[in-house]
Amino acid sequence: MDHFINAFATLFVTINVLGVLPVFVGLVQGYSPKQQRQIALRSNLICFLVLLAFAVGGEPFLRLLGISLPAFQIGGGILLFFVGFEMVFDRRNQRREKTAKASIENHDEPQQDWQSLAIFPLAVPLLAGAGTMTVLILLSAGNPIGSPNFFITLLALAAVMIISTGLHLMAAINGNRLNQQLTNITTRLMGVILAALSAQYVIDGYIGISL
Amino acid sequence: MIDQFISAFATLFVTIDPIGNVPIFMALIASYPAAIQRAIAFRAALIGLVILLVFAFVGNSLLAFLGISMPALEITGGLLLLMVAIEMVFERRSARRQQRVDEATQDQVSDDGEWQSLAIFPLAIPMLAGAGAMTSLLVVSAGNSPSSPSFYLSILALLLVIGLFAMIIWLTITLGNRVNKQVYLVLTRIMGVILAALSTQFILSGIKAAFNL
Repeated sequence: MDHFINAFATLFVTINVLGVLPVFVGLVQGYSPKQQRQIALRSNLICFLVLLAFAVGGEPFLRLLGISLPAFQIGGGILLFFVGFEMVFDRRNQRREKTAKASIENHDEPQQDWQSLAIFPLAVPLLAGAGTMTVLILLSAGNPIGSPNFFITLLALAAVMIISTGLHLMAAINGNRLNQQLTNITTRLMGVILAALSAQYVIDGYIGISL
Repeated sequence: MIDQFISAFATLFVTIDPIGNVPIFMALIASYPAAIQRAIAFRAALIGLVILLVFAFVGNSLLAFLGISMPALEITGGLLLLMVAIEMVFERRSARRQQRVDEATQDQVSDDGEWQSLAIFPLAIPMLAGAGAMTSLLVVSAGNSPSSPSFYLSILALLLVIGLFAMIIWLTITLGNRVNKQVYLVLTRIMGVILAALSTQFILSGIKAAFNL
């Protein structure tokens, strides 16, 4: 149960669904409601698959490179701390919006490629970004495929993705009513939580070395 | 006990910054008559207080639920506050806030209900109840369950800081906003230095506890 809570919380704050929603709404403006819903479903599905690959492949990959769990806990923890930092100081959403804008400008005929929009930038890197991928390797490290904790990680990932899909579908239906201030506050709150979680990872990693 | 109260009060005072916030408040509400200015200021103070109170109660339980230890929170909070302090000393915080205030005033359509929404954003959030205030509230009340006396000490410190802010802004409005802006700038910098030292202390004690030094 502890592992589930930890996995769920870490995934929820790094994917930061509430922070992605305004970017999503901005990106899908101009598409029909049906297309918006399809984009929402597709991007969440792709995100889930990408993250699943990291959950399954993370453990063997680390072992292949000879990276120990404490080393990755410390490294990943420091990386995630910076993500939390950016969230608190409002830099992450600015960066995300920039990515979103850049990708829109690169598209010649927006009506044609809502399908590619779901992959980039929505699924990767907005939903499944570097932070989230790091988290999945962290969660799967030390829990080989088939162990109870491995399945708990997958369960937490599935739970977060279901919530994310639901929120995206809701945003697709009444997107303009999304409150910018509210997302600002929740992003900051989640940034503080993420920073604290990542400090905990670093400390756990250190304890793992000294034992 | 009294030590803890002083530390909580100092940390909250420098992050909520009841003095440095005054010129920005005044710039935003300058065009209204004095009665409405007071109404805006008090409403903003009240909303900021309520938000921070909710945060104190929910935040702690949430962190405990997530299995985040006290040292981890101290290190995190210390690092985040150190960042805020650096911004204060080098005047980036006021610039960032000013920018947000400009954006907020541009976005707003002028109507009768405007001053009420102004009190919520940007005055209550994020100027009074910003990231720094939320973080410091977590750190000073960390490890104290919402029923322990030391938790109430940090709540008392919070009430005192918000009360001070209300008093300072009331005085400023009554005196007709005659204080030189430079005075506030200097005070903000001094408080930035104090905050930097306080946050380093949090980091040090967190590291000490986490790594058994």
